[in-house]
Amino acid sequence: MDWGTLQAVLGGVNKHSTSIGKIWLTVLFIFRIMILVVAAEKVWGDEQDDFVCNTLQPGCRNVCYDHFFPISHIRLWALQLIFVSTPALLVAMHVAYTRHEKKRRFRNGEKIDIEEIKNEKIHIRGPLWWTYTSSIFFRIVFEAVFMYVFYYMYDGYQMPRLVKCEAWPCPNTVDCFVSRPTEKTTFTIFMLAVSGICMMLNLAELSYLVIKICMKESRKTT
Amino acid sequence: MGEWSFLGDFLEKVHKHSTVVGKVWLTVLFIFRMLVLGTAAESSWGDEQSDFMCDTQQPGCENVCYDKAFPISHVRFWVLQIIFVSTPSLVYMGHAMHTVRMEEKRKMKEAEIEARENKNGGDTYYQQKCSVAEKETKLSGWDEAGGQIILRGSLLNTYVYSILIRTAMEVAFIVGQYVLYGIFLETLYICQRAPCPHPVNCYVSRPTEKNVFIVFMLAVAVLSLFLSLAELYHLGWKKAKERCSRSYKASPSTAPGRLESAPQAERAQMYTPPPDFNQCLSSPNGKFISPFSNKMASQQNTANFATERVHGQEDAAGEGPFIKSSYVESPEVASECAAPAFPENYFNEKRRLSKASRASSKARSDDLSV
Repeated sequence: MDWGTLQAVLGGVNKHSTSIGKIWLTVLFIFRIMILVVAAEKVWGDEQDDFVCNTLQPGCRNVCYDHFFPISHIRLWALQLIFVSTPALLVAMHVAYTRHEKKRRFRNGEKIDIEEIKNEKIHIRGPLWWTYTSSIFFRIVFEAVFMYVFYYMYDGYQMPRLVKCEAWPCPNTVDCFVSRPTEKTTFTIFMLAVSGICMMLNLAELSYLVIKICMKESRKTT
Repeated sequence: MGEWSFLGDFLEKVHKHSTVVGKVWLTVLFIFRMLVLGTAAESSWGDEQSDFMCDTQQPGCENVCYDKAFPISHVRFWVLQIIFVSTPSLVYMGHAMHTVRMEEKRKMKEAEIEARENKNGGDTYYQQKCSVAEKETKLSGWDEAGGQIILRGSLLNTYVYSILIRTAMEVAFIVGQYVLYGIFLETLYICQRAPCPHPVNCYVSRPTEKNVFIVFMLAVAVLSLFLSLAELYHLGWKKAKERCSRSYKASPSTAPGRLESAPQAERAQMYTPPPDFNQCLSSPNGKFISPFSNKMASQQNTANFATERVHGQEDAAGEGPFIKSSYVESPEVASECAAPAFPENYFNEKRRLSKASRASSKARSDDLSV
């Protein structure tokens, strides 16, 4: 999986984020994407090859693997990371639109310095504040949804060593053994913990933005 | 190594703003840990499960025995170790960038204030403030020319804490590896776990090659630990020595200027006094005619610089043999010009502190510019 493209896109968003947003982005890249690519993919690499069932019945192993692992953890994490990163693209698009508008006004003859438009630090106010806040809200929602999906699909966060399979064409209840269950449990809990941290960071950023705007409003009225 | 580029890019930035020992540590991390892990160790451990053979036909026995023998593979353990050991540096980097941003904001605010003052038609005296203030803000937190951060005050504390946490992580992972696997890998592993019907002989794949890499990675971890401790010693010892020599210099000294240097230096650390008025006038554009005599001030200035130079030489002599760093004393530059009315003993002030200086007023540089 080529995560470099995502890095290129999100790198641009980094410039217009708050400090907490920047920390979130760093945690995302180093503790999630990097761990996924460097470590987790290797751990789950042989998950079907080394899924062994105590039967000679052809097809039983395939069916049992498919029954117990409808979507592999790796693919679910990849989806989670993509969904969680996407709201940030909304912010990038909004900023690009604002810049485009300014350039259009410049071309229509208003006196705006074109260099300033390029290098201007965009402040999070007005409609951009709403875009930014809703992007954080959606991030939190996606994180929570995926954490629940993991829990629901795999009955908790621990990888079992032995699974008992009765799917057709297995002739009876068959013992099947999962490959590297302890290592998989370790990484599942690690990724869960980092998701939790990311969610905390998003909540902190949301409350920071809300409090800042409330204080600004109260200063205006007083 | 492409997979490590995420972390690599971040650490490149840290590399720029580290001390000499810090740079060596980062180089060791990049070359001896990341590169070796990515290229050599991965392929050595590639077939660890497929070639883990057990002396049984019982289906599932090999799986469970492999899981019992290797709860977490060495390679993944080292990946986690590298990431956790690098994380404190990222925290320091975050703090440094934050400091830089604050400095830039402060610079902009000062520029705005000056522009406003000039617009209000202030004295030409205040015009001097502009050029001097600009120079000072450049020296305070961010060296534009060198592009480096100055290790001082809270930033230095963050740096020291990051090294302490890094050391703790290093020790934790080395101990963890010993607890999990001991030092060497045995060829034979005897396994008794359901569904294996009885104790079963299992054979590890490529044990000798794995042992070579285990010993190598352990040695590099110990070397990194040693480098972190050396950096701590380097930073801590210098700081302690500075404090000792400063308090020692407070006792009898020959020149009259020296007598007041220590208590005033201590006092100066608590607040930043306005700079010497005559510094403002030293600018070549100064058309202002001073009503004050600056002969006494310049005489005491020469005494000050002499004292500071002696301190610097003593510090340089006390350095350890294997760590190269140079402490350069740079004369303090006035941050901004104050109003003409000074307290009586102002010209005896030895330390002219910058507005941004929070801790030591003494300039030092060890690969970080000051």
